[in-house]
Amino acid sequence: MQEILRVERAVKYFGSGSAVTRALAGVSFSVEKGEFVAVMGASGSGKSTLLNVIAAIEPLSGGDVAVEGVSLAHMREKEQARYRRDRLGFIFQEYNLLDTLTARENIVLPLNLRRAGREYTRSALERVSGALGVGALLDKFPYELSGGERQRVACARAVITSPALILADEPTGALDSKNSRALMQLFCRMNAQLGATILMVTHDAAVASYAWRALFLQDGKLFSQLYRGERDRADFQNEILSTVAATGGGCDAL
Amino acid sequence: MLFKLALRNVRRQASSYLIYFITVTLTVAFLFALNSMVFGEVLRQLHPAYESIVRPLLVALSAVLGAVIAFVLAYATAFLLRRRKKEFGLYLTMGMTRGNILALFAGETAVTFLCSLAAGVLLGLGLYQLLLYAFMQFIDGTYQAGGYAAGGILWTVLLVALIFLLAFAVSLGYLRFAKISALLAGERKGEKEVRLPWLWPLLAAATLAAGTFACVRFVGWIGSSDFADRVGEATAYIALLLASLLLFPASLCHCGAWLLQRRDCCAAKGLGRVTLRHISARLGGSSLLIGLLSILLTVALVGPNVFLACRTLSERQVQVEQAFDVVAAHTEYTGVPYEEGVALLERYADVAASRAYARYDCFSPAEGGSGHEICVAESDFRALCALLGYALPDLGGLLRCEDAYYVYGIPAVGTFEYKEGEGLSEGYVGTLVCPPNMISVGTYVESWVVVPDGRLQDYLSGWGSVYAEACFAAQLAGERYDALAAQDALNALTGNLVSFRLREAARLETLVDFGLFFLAALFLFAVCLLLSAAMLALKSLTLVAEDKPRYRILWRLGAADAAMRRSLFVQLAVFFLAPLAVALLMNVPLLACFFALWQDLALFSFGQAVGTAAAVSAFLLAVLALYLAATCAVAWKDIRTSIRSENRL
Repeated sequence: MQEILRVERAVKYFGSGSAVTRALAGVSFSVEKGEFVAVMGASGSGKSTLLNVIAAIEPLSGGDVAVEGVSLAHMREKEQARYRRDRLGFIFQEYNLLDTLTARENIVLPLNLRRAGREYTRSALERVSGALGVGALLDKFPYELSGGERQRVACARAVITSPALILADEPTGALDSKNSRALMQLFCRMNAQLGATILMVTHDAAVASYAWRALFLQDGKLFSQLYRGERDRADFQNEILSTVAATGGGCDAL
Repeated sequence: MLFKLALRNVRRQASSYLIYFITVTLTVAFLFALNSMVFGEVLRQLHPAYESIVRPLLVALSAVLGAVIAFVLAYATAFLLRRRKKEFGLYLTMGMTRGNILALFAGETAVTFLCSLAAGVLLGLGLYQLLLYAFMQFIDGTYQAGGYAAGGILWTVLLVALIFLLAFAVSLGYLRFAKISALLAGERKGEKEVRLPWLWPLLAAATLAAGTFACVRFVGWIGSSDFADRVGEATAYIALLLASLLLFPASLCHCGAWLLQRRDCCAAKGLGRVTLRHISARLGGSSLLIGLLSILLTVALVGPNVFLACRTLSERQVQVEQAFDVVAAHTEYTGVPYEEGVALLERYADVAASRAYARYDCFSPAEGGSGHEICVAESDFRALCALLGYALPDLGGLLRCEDAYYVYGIPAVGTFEYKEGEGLSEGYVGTLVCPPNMISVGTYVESWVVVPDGRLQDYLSGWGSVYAEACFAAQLAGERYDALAAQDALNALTGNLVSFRLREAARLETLVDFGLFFLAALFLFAVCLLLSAAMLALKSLTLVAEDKPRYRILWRLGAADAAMRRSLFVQLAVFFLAPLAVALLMNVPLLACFFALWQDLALFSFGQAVGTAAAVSAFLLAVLALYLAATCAVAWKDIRTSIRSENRL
């Protein structure tokens, strides 16, 4: 399979002098095209920092990150913006929809940023809204949508450009359990039907159990990883919970 | 404790208080300079009715300006409150009372206000001298550094204190009654779908039509012969015009915002759609503000043309009222020392030529009829014509002369029009239309007769009674001299028994009147412009503060800095320039209206009127561009800081 993301001995320090904090201590892993990977760990384990360095929001202190073979090291600010625009899709805990735009305008925004043509944009919108079931929401403003609907719109925005990698940061953090389940089913659909490669950070073992693989971070290091394989979701969730317990807890026990 | 916190907050919130500080400083400086002029000695000495009429009017003007400034300051403090809503909400949740917060905010604004007051007075000291210099230049006077009147300082401090209290009361009212939850929530106002989209274009068209109708009818009313009997009608037109002026910009903004959103979002490129939505939200949410600012800018645009027209009219009036540079007349004073007068005049200006002459008022005998004629000897009249550069043809008989003002209304100054023979009474050789008031000194003369010198005694003896006036006319080589002093010296020569009239002195007196008018207009203009720009800047920064999370999202989605900066500039430019654009649009019918009103007087050509409006527009544009650039820089710095400070997904 084609390798989409490669993280090699990623190191990240914050602060200077005697007040240095090591957030990542040589993390290495890779993600294949079409994979759905969950990243778990206790607070302060480096999950969010890992996502930030992959998104080129934080510069690395050492090591390298490459997406589709393109290294982020030595990338200029303008190139970083282009990289985020062209290769990544984002799903945030707080949805991060622009409240001044309708759902339709929010969804097509990444294509607008790429200066895509009208017909291409329209057909991409139809494809995504059909696949994710957001057709009825298109003309509504974010304040008219429920939390689950907003997150569906955010998912549609993340996949409309068919990005190489979708980064999801606690996507169910602001949702109730029913909407969390619906969102994870949507992630699975995005993964299966649209071929999206997803890297998701979560505290929730139940949410992580929807992924193919779960990575566990502890103190900035990759502590363990689990593959779901042919097992059902409940078994995988139990194994995740066991692994989390072995790391000393730090996730929501559901 | 609270005072210390207030001082620290002012230091930390320096960027938030910057626009407030600049605005208060500049307005205090303007008020100080204006009041120093109003209560100073210079104006009092220049105008005879200054203390009884002019000063009360100017004081009233400064009070009106104070009210406008109070409105803007209330807005500025509301801006400060908006930016810090969450902070105040947090203070409340931490256990501070509303009284504590009120005291804290009062302390902060008072500190800033006192700093601005001090800076404004310092700036005003210089501005007053600059203004005095400009004023003296305008009236062709001599500048001397003016003293600072205690009355001006006291009135400024009193006015500024009232302004501050009024503006502050508004803010306190807000803080006193706001809910904690609302404060903590900050500003969460999203875009909404327009419910009756067609309403705004219809209202825009209706208000434009109503405004045009009111203009046209008003012009018609002025031009009608019975306008004095239909004052109520004119009041209705003015009311309609004002209502249109207020509603038109608001409806145009809503209409524009709605039209902007009709374009298919799939066709948008870059941040085009985001920019449009932000512009739409700004225009729609601030339509009333834009409407008010448009009216202010419209006044600023129309004002100079009205002012120039009035000044031209007055200067023309001075020309019409006196054909010669110097004139004098006396009916009874026999020893008029005109030669001494000329010698005295030579001390102030070069006398090119002068002529003392006699003017005769002839009346029929009381029992014989009611005839009245004015006549002048041919030699005297020929000399007067020569003073005006006209060579009178050989006559050989009587000449009927007519004042051009009575023949043509307001004619071109200095022209003669001779018509020989035909249809005249016996003995007359022709008629001559003369420049206005050629032989009038004090009282207007419609027509007169020029009599050959040899026949003068016979002609005069044919009338029942004749009164001779000893008149004098002179032309000077230079145009500018100390005419007011010369006029005083000449009149003192005869103990004010003979009144000398110097055209230059009349012009200077008119200029003083216009100088006062100019002063008031300049202040209105400056304050309007300054406050408009300040309000736009404050409003923009408030809106940008609300937009910061949106820019963070855009940045995370991969929008380049340059694209976001461009988008911000376009949004702010549209927001800043919308009032000017609306003002320019409204200026078209108003200019046409004034032009139609004064067309007969030919006070200015259409090109001149447009040129003046264009020059003022360019100046307005430059000032707004300056504020726009500063606002853009502050706003972008704010956004960049916000993005950088939260560099996490």
